[in-house]
Amino acid sequence: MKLLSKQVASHMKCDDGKAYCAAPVNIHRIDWFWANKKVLDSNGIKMPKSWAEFNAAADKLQAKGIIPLAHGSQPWQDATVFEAVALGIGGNDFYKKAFVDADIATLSGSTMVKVFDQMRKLKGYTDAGSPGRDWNVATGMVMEGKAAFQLMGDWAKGEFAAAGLKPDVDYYCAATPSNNGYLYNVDSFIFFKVKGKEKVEGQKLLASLIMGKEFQKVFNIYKGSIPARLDVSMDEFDKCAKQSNSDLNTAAKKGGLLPSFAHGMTLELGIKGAIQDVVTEHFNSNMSSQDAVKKIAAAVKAAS
Amino acid sequence: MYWLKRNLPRLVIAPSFGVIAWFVYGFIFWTIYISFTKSKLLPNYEYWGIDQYFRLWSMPRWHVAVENLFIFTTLFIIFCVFIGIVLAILLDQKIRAEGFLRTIYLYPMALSFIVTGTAWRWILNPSLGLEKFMQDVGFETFTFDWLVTPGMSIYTIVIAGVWQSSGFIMAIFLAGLRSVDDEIIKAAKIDGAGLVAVYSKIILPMMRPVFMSAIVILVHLAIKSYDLVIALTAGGPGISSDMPAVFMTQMAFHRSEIGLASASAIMMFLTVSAIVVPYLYSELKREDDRK
Amino acid sequence: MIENKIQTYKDLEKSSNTKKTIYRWILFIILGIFALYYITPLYVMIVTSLKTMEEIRQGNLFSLPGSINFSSWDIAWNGQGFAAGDVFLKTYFWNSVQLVFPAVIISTILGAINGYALTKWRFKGDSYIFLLFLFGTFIPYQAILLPMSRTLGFMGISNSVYGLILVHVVYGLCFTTLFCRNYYISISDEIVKAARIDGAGFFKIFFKIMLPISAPILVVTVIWQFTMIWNDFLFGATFTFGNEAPIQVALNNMVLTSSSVKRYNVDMAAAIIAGFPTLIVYVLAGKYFIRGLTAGSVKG
Repeated sequence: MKLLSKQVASHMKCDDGKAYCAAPVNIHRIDWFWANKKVLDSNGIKMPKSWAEFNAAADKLQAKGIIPLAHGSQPWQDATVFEAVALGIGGNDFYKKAFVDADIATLSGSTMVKVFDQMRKLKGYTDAGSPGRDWNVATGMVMEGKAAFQLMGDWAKGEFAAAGLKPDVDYYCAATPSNNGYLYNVDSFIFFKVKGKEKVEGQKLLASLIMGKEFQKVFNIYKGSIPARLDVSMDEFDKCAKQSNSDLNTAAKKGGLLPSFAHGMTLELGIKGAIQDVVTEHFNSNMSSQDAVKKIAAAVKAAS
Repeated sequence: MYWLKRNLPRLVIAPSFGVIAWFVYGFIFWTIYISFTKSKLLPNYEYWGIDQYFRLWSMPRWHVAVENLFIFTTLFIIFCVFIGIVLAILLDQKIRAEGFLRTIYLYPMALSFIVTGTAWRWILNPSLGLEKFMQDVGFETFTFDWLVTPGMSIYTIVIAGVWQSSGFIMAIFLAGLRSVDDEIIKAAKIDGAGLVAVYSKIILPMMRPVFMSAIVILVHLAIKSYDLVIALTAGGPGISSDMPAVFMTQMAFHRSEIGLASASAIMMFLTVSAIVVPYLYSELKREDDRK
Repeated sequence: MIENKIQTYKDLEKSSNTKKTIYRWILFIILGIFALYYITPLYVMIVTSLKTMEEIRQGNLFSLPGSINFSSWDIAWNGQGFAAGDVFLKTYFWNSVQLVFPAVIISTILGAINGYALTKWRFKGDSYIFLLFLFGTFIPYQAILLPMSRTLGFMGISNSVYGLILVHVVYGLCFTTLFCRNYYISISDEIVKAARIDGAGFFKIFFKIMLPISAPILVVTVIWQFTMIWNDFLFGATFTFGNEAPIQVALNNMVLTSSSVKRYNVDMAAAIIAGFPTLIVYVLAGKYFIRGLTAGSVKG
């Protein structure tokens, strides 16, 4: 019986896929929306199924003086939001061409302009204090009801849990609008070549512990992610995790299971960094979407 | 035995010299060499020409960093020297509280840049720091959100940097002022010169070597600015307060671009050398002339 | 007639005294304003570290705490227990202590011997050698970070306090040699020459003659090295991580990580703890330090 999905397994292999050199502890999903239940319910808003729906809801909230999107503008956070938006606005194939294949034509095309347009809109929904803010402080804003939504990976769930808040009771979790897309990030332990039989035995022991059902279950319940191992029962996981797990399977079948570039699952670090620079610069300035698209294509070319 | 005795000084210096030769100059040459290669995550010793430098100068982020360095260094020098001279002249007026005041003006220098950055980050925080205080006291429309404004964040680094270093510049100017021969001042006063004239026409022109030392030290501090940027703005918002030192670390250790990082480090090295080498040369000439 | 003249003199004296007093007052006011600029951050740090988070939110930057509350100091030093996933300063403070003592002692002793050798025992090429040391004080460390981290890896002391000691001794050597050389060069050669004629050797002269009169420069060198090494961030952040990190790295990590509520009072307490040793050294011995440092740059 297969313990890991093909995709996850491929990330764990080295030597051109011939041997395993890493053990996965979890699968994180990046493209989540977290929302304050009271704020949404009292304003008659549901978790948006499209980006247009999100924008309409955000406008409504802004008119009432509530911050629509809690955000901390650090380069990696800007990139996280960006890739979720790209997935939703551009679609799964677009994402793959742009951020897995680093195809220059896709990066400089009109769809990318639309992605940056939406980023500009999102900037308008954040508050003036967002530059430099830590991600979990932004989560705190949602918890307190100061802000309605946050776009963040599932580790944000850990913050809610630590504060004793429960899904569907205090907060909502839902995927950001996309067509069965699922951006994943796998945390893993890499095993370097070591000398000495004891050390190798130690590595094997650690690997088998990490892959063990119990560890996969307990670790992920606390972490907010879901097990990498396929046959772990999801019964003790909460609603959001169960959702994540079923979405994972759907996305895998429909070709929407894609690695997160903002979290280093695809793209050389130099290229990822170049894209991140343009995204964060655009988000924190008045740069036009056209200029951003030109820059991103040029940056990727230069970094390749 | 005699050979040992005769060469003892050289032998004593040799280990230190060897260490410097290897760890300073040897390493700089290694970095120069790597900047001429295609190295990404690990060194690739194949010669590649100066393409890394082309790549470097074609990156918008590097341009931001260089521009920031220029802005920061200029303002840093101007304010530190101005405040340093003013305070030195004021303290030169034989005040009883001189020792106490000197301690206050100088203690920031004892703190690390991280401590300074942490403290100023708190003070300049828009919602909880100076801005809120002024608003509470009655200046309702007062804003001071430079820390989170892309174009202005570099100036917050100037504020914190000047706070940290201007006391030191004051100290060296004060020592310089004090070393001026009293006779000259007395002669000028007898000739009828007022206090202002004494300072501006006689003492300050004699301070040329002190000016030089101050500027060299300040340029050197500015180019090395890494700790302060990291603690105060982390290079943000976005990349708007990036500096060459921060850029180099990012490229080297987070982007697996050690060839590019080496090129940026060598650019920093060349900039420092361009200022320091002429200075050292002129200083050595002066020493030779005096011999 | 004479009474008039005396009265005029007295009046003139009084008016010039008044002028002097006014000038003095202006002087004090300006000096006072500057003093506020320098003191304010320290005041804010102390005051904030003694408040509770409630007081910080309700009050403003300068308001005094309701009561003196040292709990954030305890959290900064000891942490909040495992669950909060904290960085706390205790371990890293001791890392820096372990680093600073050997590094300062070794680099100072070597600097003194080097300075002595270069100035009292002239040999061919010694000014060029000194020039290389001098230039070494100016280099931006970015130019050596990469090769140094590889070398530390090869030597097996990467991510350890020994690695940091090596790094700080090596790059401190340029400064310590510079300070000691500039000091010894202004000490008359006659004593040394006379001792050599009497048959005293290199080390005997060093220990019996030079060292006893070196107190001023040794104080300067030790304080300089202590401050530089304690306050270092770049080398610490580049060559160590995790539990081996020195204190400034830990401080920065602590300020940058947080739970959903940023604990400004703990951050400020941590900053004071991190800055305390160098501040104390400066307050107690600062004037020797400044005296030594400024003498060099004025004489040129």
